[in-house]
Amino acid sequence: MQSAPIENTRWITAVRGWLASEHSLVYAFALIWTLGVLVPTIISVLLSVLGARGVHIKWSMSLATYRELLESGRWLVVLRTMGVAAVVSLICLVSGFPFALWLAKRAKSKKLIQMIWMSLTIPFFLDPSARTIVWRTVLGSTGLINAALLKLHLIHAPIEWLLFSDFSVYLGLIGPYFPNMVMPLYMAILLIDDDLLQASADLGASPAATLRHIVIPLAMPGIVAGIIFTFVPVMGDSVVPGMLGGGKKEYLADAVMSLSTSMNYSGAAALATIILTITAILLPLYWLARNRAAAVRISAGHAP
Amino acid sequence: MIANDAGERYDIVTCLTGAYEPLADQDLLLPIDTSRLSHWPGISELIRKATPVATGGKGVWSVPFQLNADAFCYFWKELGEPDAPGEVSWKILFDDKRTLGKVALDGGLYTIPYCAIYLKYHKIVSIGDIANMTRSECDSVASYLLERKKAGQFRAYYKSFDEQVQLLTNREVLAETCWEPAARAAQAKGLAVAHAYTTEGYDKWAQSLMIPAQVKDRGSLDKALKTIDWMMGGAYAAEKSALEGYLTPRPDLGIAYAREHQWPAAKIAAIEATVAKMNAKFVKDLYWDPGYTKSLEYYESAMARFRS
Repeated sequence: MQSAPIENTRWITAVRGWLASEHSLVYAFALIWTLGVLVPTIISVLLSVLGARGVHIKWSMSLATYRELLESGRWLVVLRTMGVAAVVSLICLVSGFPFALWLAKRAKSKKLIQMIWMSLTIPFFLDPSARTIVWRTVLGSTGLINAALLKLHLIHAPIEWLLFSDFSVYLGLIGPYFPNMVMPLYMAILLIDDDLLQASADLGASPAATLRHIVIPLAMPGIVAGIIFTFVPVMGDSVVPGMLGGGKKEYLADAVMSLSTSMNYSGAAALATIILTITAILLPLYWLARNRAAAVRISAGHAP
Repeated sequence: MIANDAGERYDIVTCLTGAYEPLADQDLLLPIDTSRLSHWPGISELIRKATPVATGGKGVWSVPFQLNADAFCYFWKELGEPDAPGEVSWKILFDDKRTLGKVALDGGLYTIPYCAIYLKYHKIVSIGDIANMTRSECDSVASYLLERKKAGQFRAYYKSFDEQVQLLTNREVLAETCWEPAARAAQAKGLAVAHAYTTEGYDKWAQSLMIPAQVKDRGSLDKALKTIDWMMGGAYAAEKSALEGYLTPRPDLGIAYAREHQWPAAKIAAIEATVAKMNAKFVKDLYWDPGYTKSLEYYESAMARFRS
């Protein structure tokens, strides 16, 4: 009976020791990552070339699935989704950068900053369908905007393109993904030393020159992170195109879902592989930007 | 069931009649001994025909518990078309200047067979079996739909029942393919919406109850059979037909139950109307929903082309 606590302590010490060693943590992380990320990814890539119908897998390699994706016009879906994701990211960047700059360097009231952060986190707490469906009651034929315009006699018939159009898809996507852009931008700009900005001004640089030669290069990791955090989830959004676009155009997430529900798992896997490849191409851009920012920091006399 | 072992967890599963086929092939289903269902002997010819029989006289693979003929609904007053049960054409949906930009379709695969009903009947496209179309037939349907999409015929493609209802009640559309309960929900809000009796035909379907193979070893077979028998009975039939307009295998028991429990005359009339509606709709040749088709990928690919 007496030995039990000692045994327990020994056990805890052993675990503690194991956890404390750097290597074990790396191994544990590698294992979790392999099981949770790598294995499903490899299976997905394999399924796309093996050709699975339902649960039956044909054990022969072929690119037939990719050919089918081409023939059914799904390459258009990939292009369209990337286009929308790029435009949404750009709009978020152009509007988010000045906002983040102001928030990090100019906003003085702590209360105001807190309020802004609170409102920026709201989209994360709302269910995507719930926060999206609301737009229908605003943009619809009998929605708030049309009703108001009709009442004011500014229009004679409801404006149809407000809902179930490209316009409504962009509008619906910008709102929830704007914080994804602002947060990394804010962090990156906040890290820029005020002395650098002051020095730049002292040396006679105009605010535009300071922005171009100091702020933007140093904020580059934030800019690229913001683009990735916006671009990637917009590519995978399945709610907005359906609810606000009226499902008239197919987007990637929709296409994957449609292929899965018709048990064309290899088709779904092939599309997922394409998305993965695109994402993989984007990542080196991030490292490039990071290295560039580090170089600027060094030349400005700061440790990277 | 194939992908997630639903049989381990459920004693009864439902699906469209026909979808049982791959399940039975893989021995995932238990044949149902109909001699143990007290309501079985009185079923109509229609239900008997819709019931898949297990091989070797071991019983049936599944028992239908609700049936209907799906079509579309339309604002009949606004369009100047007859209210149900007057017959209208699917043309309202696919090729009608009055509904241009005011039509919603199913965003899933159903739009392909729906449109095929219209195209086959009017010989716009030559189609053999709508339940099992070839790749080129599916392509032709997609091409026709694409052409109509370019003409601006369609406003939205919905995914859910809620959307079907919302599109009607928000007056986004004048016509849409839909389930009958969606039309009823719009009618309940006072809208002059009818669920169509069509010239060309319907997506006639039955949903069935099946017993997973694992039930035998779990010892819950008696319970499962008792439940299926109850779902064939009067109480279920009366509620279902009055509420949703769906037919059940023994509508006669439903009417008897409603009378016996002194339901209001309007509700009894609603059950009788359901029976009359099914008699009128099920005589149309087109088309019986197979629930499962080996050429599913053609339908999916056609729909993808239409939406891309």
